[in-house]
Amino acid sequence: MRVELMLNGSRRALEVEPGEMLAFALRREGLFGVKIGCGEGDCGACTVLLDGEPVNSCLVLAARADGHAVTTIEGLGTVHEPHPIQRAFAEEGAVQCGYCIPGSILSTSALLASNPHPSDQEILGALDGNLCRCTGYVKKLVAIRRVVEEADHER
Amino acid sequence: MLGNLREVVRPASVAEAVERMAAAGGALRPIAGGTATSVFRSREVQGVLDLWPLPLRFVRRDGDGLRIGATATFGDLVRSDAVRGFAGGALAEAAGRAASTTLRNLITVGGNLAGLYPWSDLPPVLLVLGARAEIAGPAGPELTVEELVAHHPSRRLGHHSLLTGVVVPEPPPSSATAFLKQGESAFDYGLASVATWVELDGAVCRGCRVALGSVEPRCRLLPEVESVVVNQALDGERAAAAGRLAADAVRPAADARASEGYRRQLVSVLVARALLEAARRAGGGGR
Repeated sequence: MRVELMLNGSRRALEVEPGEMLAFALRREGLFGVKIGCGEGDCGACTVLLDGEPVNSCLVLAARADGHAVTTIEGLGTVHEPHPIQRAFAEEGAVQCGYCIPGSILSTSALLASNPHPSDQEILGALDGNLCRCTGYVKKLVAIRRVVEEADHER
Repeated sequence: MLGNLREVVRPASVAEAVERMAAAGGALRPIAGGTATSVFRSREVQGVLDLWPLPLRFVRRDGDGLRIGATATFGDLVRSDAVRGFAGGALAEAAGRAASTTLRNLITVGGNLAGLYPWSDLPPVLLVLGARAEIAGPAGPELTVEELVAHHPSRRLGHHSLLTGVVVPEPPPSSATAFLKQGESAFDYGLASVATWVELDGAVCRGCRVALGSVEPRCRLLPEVESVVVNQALDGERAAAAGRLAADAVRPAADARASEGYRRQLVSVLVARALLEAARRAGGGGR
């Protein structure tokens, strides 16, 4: 079945199976920043933004994206032009194995869009769906605080 | 991949949704957040009825109370000032204690109630607030949440009726709710959860409701506890007595998460604490 959506800011049409999950449909499109971890909504590696909200794309039918906007990590920044959150994560050492990072960064981006000055508690709360088993959350916290400070500095 | 699915139906209206369900006779299941994937893996299910296109994602407070559409997400409840400020805030607390941020953006009020699991977090709060379920189809137009969960809601709704939302009546002034949940981790299902509603006249309790989740196979009200508390000063001793009575009144499930005895102990402690917290809020000491 045909699904029309806004994918990383561009209008796209995808051909998907009725029972296909969004995470797999996106990877088929070459968006490999969408990671498959547990496949059942526990780990958050497959997090994408659906109409700006972070969701587990392994639980969302691809058909459901019809008429909606989906953002993956590829829509946020590139290797040559990283998003400020990506730059801060890299420079603060918040990335070790990297598997949870696309999801963690998308969750951060959704948090900062609605709450530009989050408390530490709010930052950790926003990442509670993105399990990280190697770096941990302290370096992420440091990186996100830095993004907030830099954004304030630029204003 | 849900390999059994042959179609995803996207209805234009609630009426169309109910018609399609009735015609399919169980082969077409309503889907919203989709977090309960096992429901849709059954071979009997050949298609899903995607509820997102329907205008059921809303939360608003009007003269009658709070109206919440079936596809409002737990994230919507947590972010809603109307919900956070309603009756001491237990609806927002219950929604906020479920799973994770990303899952709360998928889990819906309708799915949590109609799909009723032992660990569903919201129904106990709906029970203590005397909420009503709005239903399209032969089982409607309305049931109390208490009636809906007396058996599993799927028995009431069948394959031909659709839960479209809940109405939570405006509680009397000087009353408030509280919600407490104990799990092994913040992410895990509850081992036990308790919702309370308390109405005060000075220090004296004039009304009280207590509901439990995650303890028995289905959530339920505990009317036997109310008599211990109503028309009494609700202090620590009285709350502890109510907790002990609640622990005696339940038949907790034993599973890999907790033994029967541990659940009973949790019920005793959580009921006492949740009564005191609701009383604190009702007395103006809370939100």
